[in-house]
Amino acid sequence: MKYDAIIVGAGAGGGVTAALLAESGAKVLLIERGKHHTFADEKTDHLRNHRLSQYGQNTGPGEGNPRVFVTPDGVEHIVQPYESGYNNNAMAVGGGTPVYGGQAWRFLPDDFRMASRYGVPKGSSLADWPITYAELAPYYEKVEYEVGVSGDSALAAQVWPRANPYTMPPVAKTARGTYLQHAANALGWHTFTPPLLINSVPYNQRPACTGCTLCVGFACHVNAKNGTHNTMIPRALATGNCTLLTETMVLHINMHDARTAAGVTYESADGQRHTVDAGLVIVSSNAIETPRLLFNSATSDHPHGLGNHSGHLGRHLQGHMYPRAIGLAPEPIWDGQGPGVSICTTQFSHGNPDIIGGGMLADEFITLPIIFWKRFMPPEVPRWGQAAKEFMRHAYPRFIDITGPIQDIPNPESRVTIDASVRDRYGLPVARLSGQVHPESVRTATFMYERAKEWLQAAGVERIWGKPPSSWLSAGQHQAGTCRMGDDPATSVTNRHGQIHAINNLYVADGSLHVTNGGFNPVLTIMANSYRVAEGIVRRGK
Amino acid sequence: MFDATQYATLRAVVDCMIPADEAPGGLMAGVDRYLIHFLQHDGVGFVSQYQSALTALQHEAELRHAASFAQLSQAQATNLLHALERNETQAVWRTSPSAFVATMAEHCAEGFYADPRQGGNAHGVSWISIGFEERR
Ligand SMILES: Cc1cc2nc3c(=O)[nH]c(=O)nc-3n(C[C@H](O)[C@H](O)[C@H](O)COP(=O)(O)OP(=O)(O)OC[C@H]3O[C@@H](n4cnc5c(N)ncnc54)[C@H](O)[C@@H]3O)c2cc1C
Repeated sequence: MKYDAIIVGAGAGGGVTAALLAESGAKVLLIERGKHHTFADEKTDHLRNHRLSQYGQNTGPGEGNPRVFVTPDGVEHIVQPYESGYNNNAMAVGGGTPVYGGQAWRFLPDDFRMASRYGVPKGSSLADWPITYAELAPYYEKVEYEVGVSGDSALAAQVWPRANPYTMPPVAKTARGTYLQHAANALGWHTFTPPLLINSVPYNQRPACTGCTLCVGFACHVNAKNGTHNTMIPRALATGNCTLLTETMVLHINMHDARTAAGVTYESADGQRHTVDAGLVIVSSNAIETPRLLFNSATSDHPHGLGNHSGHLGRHLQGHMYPRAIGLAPEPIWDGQGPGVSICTTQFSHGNPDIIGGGMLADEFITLPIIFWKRFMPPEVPRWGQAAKEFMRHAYPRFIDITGPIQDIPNPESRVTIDASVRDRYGLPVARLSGQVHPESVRTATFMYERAKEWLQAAGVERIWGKPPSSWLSAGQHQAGTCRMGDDPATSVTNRHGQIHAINNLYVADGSLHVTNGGFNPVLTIMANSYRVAEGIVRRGK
Repeated sequence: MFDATQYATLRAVVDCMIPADEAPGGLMAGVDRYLIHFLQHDGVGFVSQYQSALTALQHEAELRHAASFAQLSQAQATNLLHALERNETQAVWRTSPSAFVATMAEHCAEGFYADPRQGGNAHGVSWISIGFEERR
């Protein structure tokens, strides 16, 4: 059978794309290497999940899928999915979305025109998006409504131009959030409850969040967390036009001729390989696996990988640097209220003296005790003995951490390539990640770290500590940028429609398209942009 | 995996790293059993480091106090581990003493502060002491 479209990866971007194409009547084959992951599959293991993957994860990938990570000293390390150098997102039906935290940020208008606003710093590849905020805004709104976002409409409207309110009120404020609110008021900072892809009230025939203590990194126990796994993908399947294959790895995109993709070759769970044809191929495998698949599909017409005519494929890899400051409230403040994140400020997203862009600051999702021990203890506190135990007892009920993504300044040397020797269990070259963040990103992160400390200081905390930002590659769960869109084929991988410049029927729809990644968690933008790409495909009748 | 002396030493180190006070310590919470299970599964890569370090620890105790490690007072054991953190040794070590102390401290904390399903935080005793309650 020949499909109208094959979508590689049923994540955030792929899920949205599948729904729109299937609802338009197209016959869609949606291929996902992971499995369905619901709370029934959840072991609620505090050491093996997507928030702390010390020895493993609750979704994939599993054995036989290494990557190569090159540290700043130039040393190559073979890394497993649960190790930090792997920069994993998550692998399941829904991609990162069944286990994410669900912060649902729109980028700001200036995030789409960073080069115009700030100029291009030396060594960076800062560029404007080929589209504006105004062009994406209607798609943000569709995603907020169709996937489901709760938020503080009136306060958020002071930050973004938006047509309509959120359809759900914001989630509950924690005691910590209220405490930080007083401090922000004293500083004159504008704050609000972050928008979340979490039901604050029943929505879409699913219940409201129970405020449980297990949130980010795990599947939701009442299915109140909204991702593509419980919205767009079921919608696609409900049309009868979409076939979803799980535990199925796409190995290769096949070309019919230099300008036309024929389809894909995949391996299913039983180890059988199949080749299937389609009128259109859309790669939505995330910002590391999408370029890897395009590299691994090189032909004599495209010897350096599909979409790599300009040499930009895999470059400009960026996640987000995350400065973090921690302090102790004078009295216990922990109330165990999930999802936990309940106050943020966009005061420093732009317009900071001598800084390119800026970032967002928020308090933290519910923090499991072992995560506090591993990541949030001050460096000088002993890790064992009576003092360590007493510190945990004193600090855990009192700690407040303030953190958030900064607007990374992309550079072409932060990149995904394929490794010359290391292969995965399918015999394919694995992704090789190399490079460092741009010095301007470090400056921004340092600036935001100071603002986080300022907030804690104003709150009157007892003690403040944190980690000064390092210059290591940032990719991870917020990975983006490796197939950047642009109007000029010489400086981009796809055009503004997400179509690979030199190939008529090969598209990308995921975080890879982001030219810059905003100073915000990226998933709402990935969904909105994929919605726009998919709608364009439907409209142009391709 | 461990002989009787090594196992006794392991338990004594756990007791030192997460001592009992007004709240239960690592031994009462099952951290020693957690470590054994861990070393048989995800922690297999650490087994030889543990074996060699536990034997060296016993020798340190014999050389310094003419006693086995498990017989040392809490203060003696703690001081000895602090000396190892500074890589001050009297016995022969085939593995880095300071690295071992840091590694084992981390493994003990993983057992003690992670979910009770892992086996090292029996009845959630560590969570009760810090005020964390798992709630759905
Ligand atoms: C714990 C966690 C918390 C997060 N919290 C937030 C948050 O609060 N806010 C936010 O904005 N973002 C958050 N994120 C990030 C968010 O999930 C990602 O930005 C988003 O999922 C990326 O979308 P994507 O479409 O680019 O890729 P993905 O969602 O990663 O989807 C790609 C899919 O393709 C599949 N795939 C890859 N290669 C192949 C192949 N060859 N064949 C078949 N299938 C393949 C993968 O298995 C995956 O399912 C979080 C992520 C995690 C893991």
